Amino acid sequence: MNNYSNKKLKADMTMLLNLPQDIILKILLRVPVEYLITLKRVCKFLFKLISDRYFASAHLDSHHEEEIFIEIMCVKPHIHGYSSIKLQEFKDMELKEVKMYSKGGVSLRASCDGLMLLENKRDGKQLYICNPITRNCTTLPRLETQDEVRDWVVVLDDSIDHKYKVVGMSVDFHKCFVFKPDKTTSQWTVLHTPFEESLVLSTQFPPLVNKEFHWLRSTRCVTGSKENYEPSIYSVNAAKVAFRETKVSPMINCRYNHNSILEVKGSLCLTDDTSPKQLDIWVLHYKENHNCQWTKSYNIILESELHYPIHVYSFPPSNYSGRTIILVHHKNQLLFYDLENKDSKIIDIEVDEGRPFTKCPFVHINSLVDWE
Amino acid sequence: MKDSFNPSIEPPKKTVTLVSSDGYDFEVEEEVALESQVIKDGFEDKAVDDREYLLFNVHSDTLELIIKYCEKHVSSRKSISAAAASSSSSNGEEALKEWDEHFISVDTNTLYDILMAADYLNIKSLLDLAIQKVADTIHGRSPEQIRKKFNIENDSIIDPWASE
Repeated sequence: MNNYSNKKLKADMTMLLNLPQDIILKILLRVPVEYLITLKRVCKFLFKLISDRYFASAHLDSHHEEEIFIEIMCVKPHIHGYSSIKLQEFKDMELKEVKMYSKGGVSLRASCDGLMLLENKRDGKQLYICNPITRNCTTLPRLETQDEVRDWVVVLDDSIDHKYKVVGMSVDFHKCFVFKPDKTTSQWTVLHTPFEESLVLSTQFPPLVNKEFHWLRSTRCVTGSKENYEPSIYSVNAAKVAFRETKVSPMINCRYNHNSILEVKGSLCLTDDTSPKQLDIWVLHYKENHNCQWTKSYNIILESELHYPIHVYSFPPSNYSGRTIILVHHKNQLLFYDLENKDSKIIDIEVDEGRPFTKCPFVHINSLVDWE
Repeated sequence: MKDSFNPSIEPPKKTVTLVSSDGYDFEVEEEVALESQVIKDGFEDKAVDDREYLLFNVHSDTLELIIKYCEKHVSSRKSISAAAASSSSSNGEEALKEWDEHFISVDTNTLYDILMAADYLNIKSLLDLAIQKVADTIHGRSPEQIRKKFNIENDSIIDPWASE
């Protein structure tokens, strides 16, 4: 026991800053991001604490667990606007419009932990990384290549130095483009994949499951007069930049714009709509010798019919213990479904019939994480 | 929270003495004192007739509050588990939450003292409660209001967002 004193350790009014630093940090971890931004302006000491990147990732972790602070946005291209939804109690759920700058001619291509990857609409090889909460924005060096990029992803590379990196997949699946902030070289790395050119069946944004990004694709096989498609999943471990392919069970009916890849409780899953009002979720189990097995583990019965394209996502993707919320996005509807208690909530969204959107990126905007 | 006592092993009504920084003795039931992880950790090694704790960092005013909190939590836990055992419905958890909310609604200085004492004695639930209270105080206030509330000097030379 230390600090022996017979007098009461009476605090003067500078309570917050007189506390031991570990308690101040514990307090700050409980404060939602929007208020942390305000707190940063109070004094230099708080500015320094809150700006620390280890604090940013600790804050992100503690709010991932609480689940309710996850905020998502969906793009409505016809009005170039964004909306947000708090994933909390279903009864209180509502879509809120978010004011965002859109005059800069950028479009949202990917997101990770509150970071957004934006693409210059006039130059698809020019990318920007920003965090709308901290308002930090970085222009990446232009990607000099003739190849068209299919999808972009942003991922945390926790294998080496806890920095984020941007990974792009070429349209023909042959090349992978990687960029990571580095003091010595700020260049794109081009890697050749073992994948073959193929038709992509899942039109969703490539989902991150177990540190890998996945695409459902198929190759046309012609044997004699018979023609069939052999679906499989291409996976890229974005942190290590490793590639692999997983066969899909013939029990699962794979068609363009119908199936989605998602994560349920840490496992890779594939959806299949067996009827217009039913969605099955198949879970992939890994066996010995790289064998794998698919089992039908969940099904969602819907009140109204599904319209194509169907995109299915799961939240929270990084928490295996909490409740899993499945989001089915089809036509002009967002259906939220709680996998445990089978509760659901439908939210209608505006759609321009002439320009139905095909992709809907979901972004967490609750972090202080920055790119560099 | 983990049960920090076991009535079948420890006979109830055994007491320990807590001595505040200003020299006052507080005799409390053993199970109440054991709410503090610091006391619990070295408890078994201490001789039964020497169960006196000098709490150099806790003033009597604060210690009184801390004991009140621990007594409430020990008794609530008993009644909640009793209600669960007889499978009768109970709103014990809700009532305790309300009691906590009322308990922690104190002025800034007292909150500071409770925070420091809960940290020093390592009473996790109380520390959590106090930390959440401070975090809630920050919600929805402007930087100027926060400076005033916590008496923090504005040492920023320029406020980059001042024009907003």
